[in-house]
Amino acid sequence: MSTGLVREITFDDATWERLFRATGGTFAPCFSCGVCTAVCPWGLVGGGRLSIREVVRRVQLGLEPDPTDTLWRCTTCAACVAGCPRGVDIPEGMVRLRANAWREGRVPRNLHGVLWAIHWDGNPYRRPPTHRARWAKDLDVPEFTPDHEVLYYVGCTPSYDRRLQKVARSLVEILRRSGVSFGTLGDQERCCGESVYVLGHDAYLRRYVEEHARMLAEAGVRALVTISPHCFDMFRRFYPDLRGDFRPLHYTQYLAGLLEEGRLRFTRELRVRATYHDPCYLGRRHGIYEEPRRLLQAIPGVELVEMRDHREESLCCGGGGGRMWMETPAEERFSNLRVQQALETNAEVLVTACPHCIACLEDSLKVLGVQGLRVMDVAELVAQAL
Amino acid sequence: MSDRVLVIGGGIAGIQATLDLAHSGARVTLVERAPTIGGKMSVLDKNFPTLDCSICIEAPKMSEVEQHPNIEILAPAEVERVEGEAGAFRVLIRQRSRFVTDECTRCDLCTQACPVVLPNEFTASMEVRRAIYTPIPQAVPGAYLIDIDNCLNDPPNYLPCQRCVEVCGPKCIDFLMPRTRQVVREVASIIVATGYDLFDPAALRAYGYGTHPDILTSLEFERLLTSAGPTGGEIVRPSNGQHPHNLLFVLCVGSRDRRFYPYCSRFCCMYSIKHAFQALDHGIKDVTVLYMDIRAYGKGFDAFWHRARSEGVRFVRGRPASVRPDGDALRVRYEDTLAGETREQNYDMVVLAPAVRPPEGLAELARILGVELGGDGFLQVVAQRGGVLVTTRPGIYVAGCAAGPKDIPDSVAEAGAAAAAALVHLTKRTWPEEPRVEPIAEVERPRVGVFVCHCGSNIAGVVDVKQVVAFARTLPDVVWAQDQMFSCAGVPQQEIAQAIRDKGINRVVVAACSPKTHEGTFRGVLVRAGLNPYLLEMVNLRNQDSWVHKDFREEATEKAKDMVRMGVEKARRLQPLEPRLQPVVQRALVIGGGIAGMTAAANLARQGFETHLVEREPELGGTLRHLDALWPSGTSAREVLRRAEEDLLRAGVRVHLGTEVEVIGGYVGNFSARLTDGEELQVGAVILATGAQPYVPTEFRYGQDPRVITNLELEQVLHQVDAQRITFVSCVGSRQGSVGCSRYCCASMIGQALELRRRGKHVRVVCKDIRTFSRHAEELYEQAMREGVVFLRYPSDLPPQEAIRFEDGVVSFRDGLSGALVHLPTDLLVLVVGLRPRPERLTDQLKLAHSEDGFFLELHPKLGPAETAVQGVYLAGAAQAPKDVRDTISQALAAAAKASALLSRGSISKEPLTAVVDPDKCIGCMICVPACPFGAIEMLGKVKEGKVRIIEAACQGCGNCAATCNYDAIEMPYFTKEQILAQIDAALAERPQEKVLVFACNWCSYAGADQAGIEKLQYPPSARIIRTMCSARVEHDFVARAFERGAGAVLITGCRLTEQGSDCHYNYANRHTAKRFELWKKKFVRQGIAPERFQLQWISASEGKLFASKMAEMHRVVQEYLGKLEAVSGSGS
Repeated sequence: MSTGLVREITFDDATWERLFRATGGTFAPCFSCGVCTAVCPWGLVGGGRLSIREVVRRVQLGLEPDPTDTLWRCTTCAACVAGCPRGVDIPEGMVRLRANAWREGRVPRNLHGVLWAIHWDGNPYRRPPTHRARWAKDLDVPEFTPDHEVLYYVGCTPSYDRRLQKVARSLVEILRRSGVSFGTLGDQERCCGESVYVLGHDAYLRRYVEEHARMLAEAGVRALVTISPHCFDMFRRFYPDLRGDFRPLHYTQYLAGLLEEGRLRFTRELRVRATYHDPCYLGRRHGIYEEPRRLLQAIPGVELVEMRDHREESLCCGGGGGRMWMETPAEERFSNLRVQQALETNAEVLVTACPHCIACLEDSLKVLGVQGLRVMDVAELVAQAL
Repeated sequence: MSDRVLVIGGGIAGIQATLDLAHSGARVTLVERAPTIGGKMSVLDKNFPTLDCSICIEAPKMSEVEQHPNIEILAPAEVERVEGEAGAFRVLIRQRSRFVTDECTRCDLCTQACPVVLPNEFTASMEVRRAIYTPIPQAVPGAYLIDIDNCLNDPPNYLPCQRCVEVCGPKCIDFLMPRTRQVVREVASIIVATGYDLFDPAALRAYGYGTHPDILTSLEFERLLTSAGPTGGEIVRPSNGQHPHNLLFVLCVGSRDRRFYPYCSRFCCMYSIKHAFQALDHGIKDVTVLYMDIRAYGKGFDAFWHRARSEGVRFVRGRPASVRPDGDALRVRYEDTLAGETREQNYDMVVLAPAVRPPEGLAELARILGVELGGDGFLQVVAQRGGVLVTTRPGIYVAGCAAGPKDIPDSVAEAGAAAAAALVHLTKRTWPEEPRVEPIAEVERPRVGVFVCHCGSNIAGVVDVKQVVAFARTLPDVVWAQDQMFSCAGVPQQEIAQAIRDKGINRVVVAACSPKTHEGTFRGVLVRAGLNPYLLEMVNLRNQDSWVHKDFREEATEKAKDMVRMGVEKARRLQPLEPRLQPVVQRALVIGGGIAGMTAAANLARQGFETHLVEREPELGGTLRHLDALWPSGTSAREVLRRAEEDLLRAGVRVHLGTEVEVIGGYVGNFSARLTDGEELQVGAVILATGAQPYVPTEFRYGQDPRVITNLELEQVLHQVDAQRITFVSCVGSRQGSVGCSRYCCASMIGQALELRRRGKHVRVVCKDIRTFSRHAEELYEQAMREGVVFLRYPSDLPPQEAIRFEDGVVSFRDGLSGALVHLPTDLLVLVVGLRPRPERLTDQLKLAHSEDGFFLELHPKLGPAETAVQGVYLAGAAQAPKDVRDTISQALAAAAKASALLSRGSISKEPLTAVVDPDKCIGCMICVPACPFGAIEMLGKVKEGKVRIIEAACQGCGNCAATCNYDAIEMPYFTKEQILAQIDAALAERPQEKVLVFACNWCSYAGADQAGIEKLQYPPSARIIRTMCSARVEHDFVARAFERGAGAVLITGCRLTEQGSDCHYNYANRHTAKRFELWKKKFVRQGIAPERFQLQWISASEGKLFASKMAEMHRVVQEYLGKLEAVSGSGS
């Protein structure tokens, strides 16, 4: 590699075996085809390149990855996984390398604070837990009881962020109009732990998830509907099913079900040209491509068009993998490219279904000074058409 | 009990198995799902690495299958049920109707009348066909059929179309045939050769297949290269018809990919290299191949790759992330992994090499047959039986790609092997009998009958047939001439037979179509009439006159008359010939007692032939004795050997241990050998299974440093290795200079590495391209990586000793995938050594040739891997080229099948076309002895004193010796000097200056002329074509006579001869043609013949276009010559 991965290496068996174990052998089957590196969105933006193959090859050679930057760049968008012929779970390997970095105390300082915030406040924003349910104070949302059909799990960002609170409120409206009996945990709701996972603190993650899962089980939670695909992913992949009936759902899945059952009905026409941005954790991670599109297409008047990169090839907004906690220079933001792609479709609305995506994409609209394109959540559009 | 074998699948593997079986006296039912046999090979353009024309070498096999009396082809048909057991299976076959009877003359009028246009799925859907159609021009059986599902007459319908029925002259379209019929056959054994399908790359969305017309699959690209394809052999972009300026080939599309097929598809590297090479040849300058590992594992493959590189093909290690339309071009993003650079580039065309996958319906067929599938979806083979051929149900064998991807030679070898295995179950061999008819005695004085065919309007639409018949009546010795609508149809055939008997005809001229397709048919007519079949001469009016001169009716009629005159003049000189029967000693000698020799010997003995196995060591087993496990399966080598030995003893092979062959001589069917134990053996066939020897390294201070051992030594101590840090170095003694890949080593090395890793060792493999091409080997490679074996890559183009150092217990080299200088502290350095040819004393005695790498040279790299140019001598295993145990076993059985075909009849029948010596004329100069490409000429006595003798059994009939002889002492029956001179005289009887006399060899150039006809390529009617078996038959006197008679020009044509090899069917006899031509040319030029009037042109059987354009060129030469003649006579007058 001309990029100067490393000039010279003397194999050190102890380090090699330690890294092999630390990464769970995730990177071992890689045969260096380079698809990951060519497909990685970091290669599309100016400046900060990330050679995934280089990270992988280093581990294969028994070398620690460059701890300062490379390791923390990965947004865990899994575009590389979709293209990987050997099925290497690269984000998983990255997270494991981050875990290794925690053990060795080589983690950017500010990341500690995120974990402490979750520990103390139940959210990564250092916002008071008592303020968690304020977004709904005028909505009279009931507290969850086991006889509710679903637990509406709001998540940290929609709870505290003023922009995302609109999404949280839209969903309440939709659930009510569809006649769903639901409740929230109010200010007892806690972070799902996504940041703990992607930042790689596996020891704390284990403890956190265990406690939180027990709490949910004790509250009698069965079906759980999230706003964020990241929360959905956490519940789905990391939470033990303590009672045998734990069923986490992303709201697009749930609403698509209501639509099919005829409980969710539209009365208003929205004359709008929309394009849908697949969030990485919904699409590539869980294969949920159809449900959000089905919802949008069911809204009278909505014309759905696709961007160049969609479904499996969707372009990451840049907000995953803990990147929300790190600074990304304006010219290196994937969401800028994504907004560009949306503009090419002449859509009026760029719709998505993830708080991170909304935050990043709206940011890019501002940075680029784009007129005539709005960013909305699927739930917001659906609510407007009820 | 049955004397019949069922072969399922009519691709090259099925065809080869069928022929090998039939040659050994088995009756065969060949079931093919498609309307024609031929499979994928029949739609390919050229084959790697020899660049042989694919259909040219396959079509003769296809027509042999069609004509062999022991073979029954059912197509389109499928197997529905199988009952019983090995030796006595009962098979139900469902055959779909063709709706076209055997009366079809292939005139093609029906397809022109048919209004339904459909993609021709048989040729990668790059061309269209009609509802009545022939999938390929060479289709077998019965070329035409109706696709009833798409036919407008598909009942019930009340407004039938009937267009085809109306135009069909011989009325051979019959819609009332039942749609399907059930056929039941009792068979002793079954061979599955159902081939493969290609992965549809549209599933790999990122590569954009299906979104843009210029993203092609390799098979589609192959069709672009084919002169018989949609573009006539031009590489053009389907989007705009323009030539691409740059081209990208992408390997491993869906292969080596867990999302689709984790295995390696084995042959894509090589054909893509071939494609890249051909693209350069077509003038495309910028050609790139994106690869992962180049798997050039076969004989001459590495050399071919290097050639492609040196000619300018760029090879980049990487895999595209995406291929996307970008304006007019295709934008491809990939990382060059050896440079560490991500690139985005535009290409005009992208060609994807899709994975080879199990054919549609294989799982269902497996269920019907009661055999198991492997995890990869191909048929399961039993590892303990060597991991080839043997399925999980006794009596059912598998050959070719149905048991995993493989290239043509490996498929052909397996097909032969399956045939050998299937033969063991037969209780009886069947030899077809000639029909008995009262022979016509009076043949001395020629009485010629001429039959001119209209072929509907195919001939009569251009040529005035009546005029030709009238002309024929004026020719000497012609006692009868008539025209016929379709000579080859049933009734007209009887008409000919009747005329022969009624009119006392004893020489027959059929002026119709090509002898290549119809000679067999009309010879049959002669036989049925009681006439010797060699008293027939065909005049090819259709392919070489009416089809190619449709705008020159008058000239075409004149040409037809000339052609008929040539035919009659030859016919007058024909003599009855009898196929010769040579006795064959029904005993086999197998030299070499490794797994190859053991397998071949056991099979022959089980077939009932007395078989001797000679092994120089005191023990059987060869290399296998020193191996622990066979990879990638991990099967115990001892177990495989034990079973092979059991088979050997049970079969009753006579084993000579500690013995060598001291002297061997003789010829096919009749070899004599003296063994060192004093025994004298008379044998009919010899199988060389002498193996290869491991390279003994001098690199890395092997032999001096105890830490350095070979992989074979490691095998002995694999379970007791103390060393913790073990480094393997691949390709020691392989892949350098003329030494190619040793094939066995990658999988075996990875097996060892994984074994050590599982014992907790630190294992590193320093290698070039990993070549885990064999079945399950790629999966093993992946597993080894997964478990922590580290693979590091040193440069492909450097030998290990230059790329790698081993000093003070540290292995140092530059790893291509990181660019880093890597130091590996190493306790044990394992050199993975290649295989080298074993020096063999018998080579000269048997007159065998070697390839460049020192291994024995096979008869044909594609279709004859187990045969040699010396008939009766066969190659088994690594003696031919390095191979692993599976491929060794398969080739050993293939050799046994060939030997069985020779031995089983007790005599060998030869077409009576072999050379005949006139001892009175022979002066014993012996010049012909070295000229014979087959060593078939024996010296009797000394030079100038003795004579020569033709070993008839070994002679193939090319005629090179006759052309060499300066004393006319050698004659070629059916192509005698007298006959050919008479043809020349006849051709040039009138206005010779306007004519081009063309000599065309039977196999390629004559077929090329036929192809020009099939493609209706028009050229000026000045050519007069004389067919010989080989261009090497052409004598100096032929050319001299032609110029004497005033020929405008003379053109010699023959099979292609290039630096990569030769298509010649006579072991490079055309090299002699080339040499002679140069010599003669100088002479004729000195005599004042302008050089352009005497030319040599190689034209392969597919190159109709080239034939036509060459004829046009020669026509211009003649016109200029005429112009000069007129100028001269003008100024003289």
